[in-house]
Amino acid sequence: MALLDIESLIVEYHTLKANVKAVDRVSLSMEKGRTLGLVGESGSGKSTLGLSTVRLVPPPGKITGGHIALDGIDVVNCPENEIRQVRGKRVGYIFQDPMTSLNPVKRIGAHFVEMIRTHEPEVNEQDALKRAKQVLERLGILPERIYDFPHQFSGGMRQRVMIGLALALDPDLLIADEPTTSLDVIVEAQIIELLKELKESLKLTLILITHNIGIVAETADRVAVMYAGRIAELGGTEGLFEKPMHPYTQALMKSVPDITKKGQVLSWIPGAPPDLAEPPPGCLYHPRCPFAFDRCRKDEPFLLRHNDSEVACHLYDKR
Amino acid sequence: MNKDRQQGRIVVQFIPLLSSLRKRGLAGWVILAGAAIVTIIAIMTVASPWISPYDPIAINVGPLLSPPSSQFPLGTNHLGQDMLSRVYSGGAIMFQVAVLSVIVCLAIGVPIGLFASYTGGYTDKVASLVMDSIYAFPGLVLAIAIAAMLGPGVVNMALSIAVVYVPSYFRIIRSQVLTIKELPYVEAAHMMGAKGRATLFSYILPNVIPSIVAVATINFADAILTAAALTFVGLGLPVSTPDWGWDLTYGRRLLTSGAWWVITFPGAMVVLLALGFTLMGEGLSELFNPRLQR
Amino acid sequence: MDNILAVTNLKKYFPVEKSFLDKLFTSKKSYVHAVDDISFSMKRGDILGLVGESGSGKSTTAKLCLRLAEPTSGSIVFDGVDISRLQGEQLRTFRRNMQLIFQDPTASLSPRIRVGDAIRHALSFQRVGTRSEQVERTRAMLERVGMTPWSNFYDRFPHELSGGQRQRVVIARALVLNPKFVVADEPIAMVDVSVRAQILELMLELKKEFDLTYLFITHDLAMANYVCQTIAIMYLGKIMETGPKEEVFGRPLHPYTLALLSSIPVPDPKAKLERMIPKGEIPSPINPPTGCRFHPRCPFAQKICSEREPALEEMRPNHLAACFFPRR
Repeated sequence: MALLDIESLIVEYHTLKANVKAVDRVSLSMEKGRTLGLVGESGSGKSTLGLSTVRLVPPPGKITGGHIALDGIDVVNCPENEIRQVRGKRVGYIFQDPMTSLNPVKRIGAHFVEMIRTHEPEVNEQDALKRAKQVLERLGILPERIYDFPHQFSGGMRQRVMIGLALALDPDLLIADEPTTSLDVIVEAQIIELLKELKESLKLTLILITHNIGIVAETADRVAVMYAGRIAELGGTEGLFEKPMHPYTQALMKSVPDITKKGQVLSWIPGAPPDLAEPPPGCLYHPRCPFAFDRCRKDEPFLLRHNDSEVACHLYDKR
Repeated sequence: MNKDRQQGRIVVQFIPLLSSLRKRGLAGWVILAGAAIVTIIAIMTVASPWISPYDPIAINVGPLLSPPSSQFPLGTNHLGQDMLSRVYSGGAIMFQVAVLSVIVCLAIGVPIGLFASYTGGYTDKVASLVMDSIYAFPGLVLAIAIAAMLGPGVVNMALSIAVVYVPSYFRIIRSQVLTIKELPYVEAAHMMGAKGRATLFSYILPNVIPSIVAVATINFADAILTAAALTFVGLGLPVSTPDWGWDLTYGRRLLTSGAWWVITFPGAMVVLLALGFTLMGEGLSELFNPRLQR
Repeated sequence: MDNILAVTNLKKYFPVEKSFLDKLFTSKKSYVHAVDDISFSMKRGDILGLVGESGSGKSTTAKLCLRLAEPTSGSIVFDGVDISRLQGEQLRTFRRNMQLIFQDPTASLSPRIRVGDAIRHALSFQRVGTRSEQVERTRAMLERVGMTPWSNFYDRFPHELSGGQRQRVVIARALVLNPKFVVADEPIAMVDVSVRAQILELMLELKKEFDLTYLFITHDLAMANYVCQTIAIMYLGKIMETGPKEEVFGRPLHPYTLALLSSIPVPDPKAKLERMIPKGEIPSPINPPTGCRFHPRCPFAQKICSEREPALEEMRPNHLAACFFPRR
């Protein structure tokens, strides 16, 4: 049984100007122990999708359609106290910016204590701190540092603290939103190695949200490529990198430099992502697609099985 | 050909401003509402010589202290003056004082604020010290003290209000300039070889104007209230001029005898006018903050 | 001698603000050693990539070369002229020769100035030509960076354009003065992935057309590899390795370079990764390690590395490294 099951999810942002569908009928499921790389550029909806799994989409955003089932719990409709139990205990979330996600006037230990005692009020402060020390040690931070403040940690250390907080209650699912974006090259590699190692030892299910296909190639066994709020392609990592099917995926692969390849010629995608307030008819990618034909301008493509993956593109729809 | 282009550009920029106000949703409506209130009251004040049924300062035009009736819709005060006519014309002084004080503030506060914070160093330290000292005084007390020293009159009232308000302009401008000074686009201006003055006027000032406008509109509102307060306390104006402030003074005393209409209507006008300016200020500051629509 | 830029023994130290109590009790001053005695040169037409992580001093070096800051010591000779101590009017006129392409296209354009005017200001601040000539040149520049027809873009405000378009405006503004030398500070870091190559291609085309020399500042090795000809790797204010890119990335000598190369994520799931990730984090530039700055984290470090600082020496033709035990 899948740990996480998202079905036809729609998340909209209501502004005075227009209604924007940040996530438009996305369906996805996560089996226990697997790692999914959720890839997309700015405006693709990947962060919104991540936040909606724990019902933390900031207003004016709202989940307006579809279902999310997390180990049986109906995330979209369940009462507030139930979803609060889910956050932290069933799902660990690493937010996008470690620099501002920690309370600057609270010691690190206090962060952990608050986290643990909110979900397990029977645990006293001493034991919570003990657990915090264990977690920090696991992540390569000296346990005495639970008495330090966030500003005394470097960027990489703060990110480790965030990972520690996300894992403090032993969740089954870990969602990491751009975990390495603001970090230096070497620290980035350290964090990725750490995530891979934790994934193995703690048997985590991991969703990695990022625009960097390099780290996805390294850590994920499945990749979902998002464009303008929809999934363009979904499949096994090796297959997707070797033979990308959706024109957007193909173009994206060709626009990322690979230092191991000699004489690479990079290409790019002309134009810009669509204005979701006034989306084009038919396939949202067609204005930028070199293979667009008549049908693309009229009908929306749906995610369909093709070989071992799923693609939302008329080129593969033989009907 | 070039001049036509430029003039055309100015006109072309004004029309979209109005339509963009509507497009801006809530902020636009708030500004329009505030502007509407202020405009209506202004028109009323200007038109008062023609629309007032009676001379506002003529006494004994009706029975003393009579409640609102068909002949005197807003009643009469203890001198037999028609309250409706007084309400129509009482705003004139308010407007004059408010406009004058804002002009003085802009003329003094803006240049000092810009120059001191851009230059930094001792200039900044000295200016901040002076401004903070003035700011530390409770506004009304300071205004009363200065008005008492200067004596009655519209100009003097405006000056005392201006002195109290200049530090607010200074602070807002200073915090803005300090932030903007460090932004990449100012660095870019230096890279292009811009001299200090050019940087200040073309790059920093335009981005500071929104906050100046916001402070100015609040300044208007505050000036109205302070002018009323000064008159209320007895400083500011000779008794003969029709002014809501005087009505408030007498109205308060007359309240105990049950004559509620003397204080209520002028009081409502003061509040309404201040509200109008405040709405404009709030709406404008909403509008001018470029919101990233991600 | 075709060196357009020669930097010698350049240093930039920033004094550290001390707390009140510290000021009372200690007289010792501490400094951030942002750039600590570096020397390098660039030939006309070269594209040098100054590569490093945070605290490496790459951005400060760029600022010094552009004279947006004054060096603590050392010299910067640009086209035969020592610009290290230029001031006032001389500095302003000098600015015509060197320009900067900023990292953040949104923050580097004033939100209240129309895009066309923003570009034209470069010409008007330097008093080049009449107003109509300036407008003509601006229009031509807009089209040259791909914003055609210019009439669609001249009167726009920055927030009406996409990120990629804004970056093109920044490039247009930098090049409208026909500088000889352009510093690009992470020019594509804040642009969408699928559009990055377009901006890079534009910069390469413009280089050919305007006969430019580029100094690229970046932490993105893959990008540096794609677009640069020469590479200099910086760490904690020092140059660790420098040479042609094929050498530095193909046959790296310095352990830090090796560490960087093995840390970059590779967009190929089948690639076999031999990771050499050093432990720990970059130390503080206020108290850099003694001897070789990288020694506390270097897997090949020996006693001498903590005692003496290795000089930047030529180990292969044109390929220099500062290491006692280079990985040949």
